Amino acid sequence: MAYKDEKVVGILLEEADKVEERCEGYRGELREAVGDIMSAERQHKFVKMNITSRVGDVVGRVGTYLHKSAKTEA
Amino acid sequence: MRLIKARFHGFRLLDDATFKFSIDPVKNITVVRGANESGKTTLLVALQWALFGEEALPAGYNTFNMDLLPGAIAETTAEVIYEVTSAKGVQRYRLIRTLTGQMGSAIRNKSTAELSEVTPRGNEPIASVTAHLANHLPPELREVFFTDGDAALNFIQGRTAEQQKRVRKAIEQLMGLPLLESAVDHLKKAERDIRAKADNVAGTEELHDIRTQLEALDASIPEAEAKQSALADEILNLNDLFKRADHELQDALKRGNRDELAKELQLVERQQAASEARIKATEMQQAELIGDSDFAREMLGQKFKRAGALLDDLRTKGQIPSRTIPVLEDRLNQLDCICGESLDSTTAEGHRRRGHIEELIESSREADALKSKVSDLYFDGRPLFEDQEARWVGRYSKAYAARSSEEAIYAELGANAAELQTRLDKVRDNDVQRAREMRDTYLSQLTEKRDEASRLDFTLKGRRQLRTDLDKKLTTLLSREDKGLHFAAELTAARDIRSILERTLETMKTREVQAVSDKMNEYFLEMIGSDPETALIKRAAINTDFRIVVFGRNNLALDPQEINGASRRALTIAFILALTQVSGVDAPNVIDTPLGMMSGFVKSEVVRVAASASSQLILFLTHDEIKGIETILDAKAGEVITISNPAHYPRILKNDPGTKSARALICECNHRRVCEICERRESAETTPASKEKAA
Repeated sequence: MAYKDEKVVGILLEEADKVEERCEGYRGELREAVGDIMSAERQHKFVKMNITSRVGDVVGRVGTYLHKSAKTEA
Repeated sequence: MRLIKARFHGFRLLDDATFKFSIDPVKNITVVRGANESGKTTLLVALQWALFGEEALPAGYNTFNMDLLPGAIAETTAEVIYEVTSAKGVQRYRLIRTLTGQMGSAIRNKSTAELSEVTPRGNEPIASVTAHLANHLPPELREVFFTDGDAALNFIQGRTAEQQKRVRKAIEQLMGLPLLESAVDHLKKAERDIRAKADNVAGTEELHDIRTQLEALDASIPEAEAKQSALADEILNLNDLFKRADHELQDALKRGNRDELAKELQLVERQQAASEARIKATEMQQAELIGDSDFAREMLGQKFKRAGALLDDLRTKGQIPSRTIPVLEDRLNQLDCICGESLDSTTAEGHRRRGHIEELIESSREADALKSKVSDLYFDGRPLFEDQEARWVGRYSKAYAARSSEEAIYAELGANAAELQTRLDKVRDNDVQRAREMRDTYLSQLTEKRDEASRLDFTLKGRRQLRTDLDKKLTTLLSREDKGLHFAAELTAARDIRSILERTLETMKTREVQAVSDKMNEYFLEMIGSDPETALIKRAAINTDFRIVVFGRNNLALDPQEINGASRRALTIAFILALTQVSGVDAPNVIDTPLGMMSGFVKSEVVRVAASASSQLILFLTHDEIKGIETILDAKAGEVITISNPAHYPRILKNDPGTKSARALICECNHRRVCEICERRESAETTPASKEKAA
């Protein structure tokens, strides 16, 4: 990434903290997901890969976490 | 990233040419000194080619040595040693790029690059060269870190829309916004995939309908956004054209409308004629004053006084006025003399007496004519002989002033008429009309486009709102059924992640752009030495439309093109430095001929500020650019080399280089030294005292 990574990461984390904590540990999952997506995007610039699928996997992971947590809490 | 060394072979003028760059954090400037056409710009291109490949070459650029004959096999090689500081510490890399081709061939081969890490164990090859290089110095930042003074000016000159695009692109690229935007796009695709899966699983008509609508909105919103962006550009361009047309109209109006000018000229000519008549009247008044009795009395006062005394004397003596002849004639009519004797002509005595009186009348007649004249003079000339207050000079001064004033009015009217005539000659019949038509046309188009943009904005807001509503509805529908709950959770997660990325993008566009703007202003004011109290330029900023603007006194916005050339260049360099500084990207700032049009304070401050804002500053400078900044270079330049073109002998170079080949000659002379290779006629003739031959 062109922009100094720490700065972007700092803002991403700052914004992740503003999202509603839908279940316990949800924000932590989001932070990790955002990091993974950005890392995948960076790799995608130089390595051929199915980026949509990679991003979908990350989203699926967070969705599953949310779904399971919601069921547990229920 | 810091450049340590670069070596080029067969790259145009650069053949077996080695350049060392300063990595000293205190003396962080590297200067490549050279006259125009000595290879500085070639070096700028060569460095970019080495690091970024063919994409960095200008269109149609041929890297091969120009001395090679058509058909000859040519090879260009670049070797760059650089270091990168990372969490692992300082790592050193060696990059070799090679291109082989045939001189004159239209086929452009692709270069090959090898990258290896330089370690104590030897060079360790790196597999994915492009990815590694991009991590060390992102290609999208190439034009920010490698620039020249003229190209940098494009950030503040040209069409407004173009300026904004360049500034926006530079900021966005430097901050890595395209990567975030790309992530947002991929998230949107992931959301679509989830919806499609949910639709397949749920199989309800309502869900399918919502999904179809969302698909349509997902397609139409970006289309409308692109149209909005294009419209914004059109509006900016039309605004530029409207402003220009309005200026032209104002200029035309200043020059004047032909009919109005002709009428004005006629009026002035009439006024001139009236003034001419008044001048003649004042001339008459002046002329009359010359024949005036006041003039005579005040000019001949003493003589008149003496004449008056003489006449008074004659009157006292009874010599004037003359009454002899009328008295004698009266006696003749009365028939008796004043003595009482008879004057009867019938008597002899009376006849004799009458004859005597008639003789007396005859003899007195000559003397009386003179006395009569003197008497007239006595009576008529009384006002001249009497003492009166002097007033003629006052009257004459007044008349003279009136005439002079009228003559001045006449002259002014004449000048006015001449100017009007000149303007009239210059004005084409339709100047004002044409300018007004142009302005009105642009204004009409501008209004139309603004209305269209406003409508589109409204539509977009509606579509976005609908999308949000449908999204929620879809999630609610999915949540109603067990099999949909998982998809609803996935969609919620996707939206949350997307919102994090979108808000990050927004924050970077606002907060960080403001940071670039503030930093640019700080550097710029330092460079031009702007005094907060007295300066004409008060501050510079990047506005919300990504336009660089300058503010003068009273916070008046100035077009950067209105400021002087040196300040313009300083502003663009300040912008580049601010971008690199705020981004935190550690890379060399390589600037070709940055100090053109600069002198004195601004020139030395630009170098000082640039050196303190860069981790590594590489400047390609002409001898003229170096003049005046030698002291700063003494303190801050860790490496200085001189590059000369043998083709400059004998016109510029003083000594025969012994070769005529198109190959730059490099010597280690710094900004204060010359040697047999680089000694120039100009330097030998103009600065003999400063010449210090290199050992």
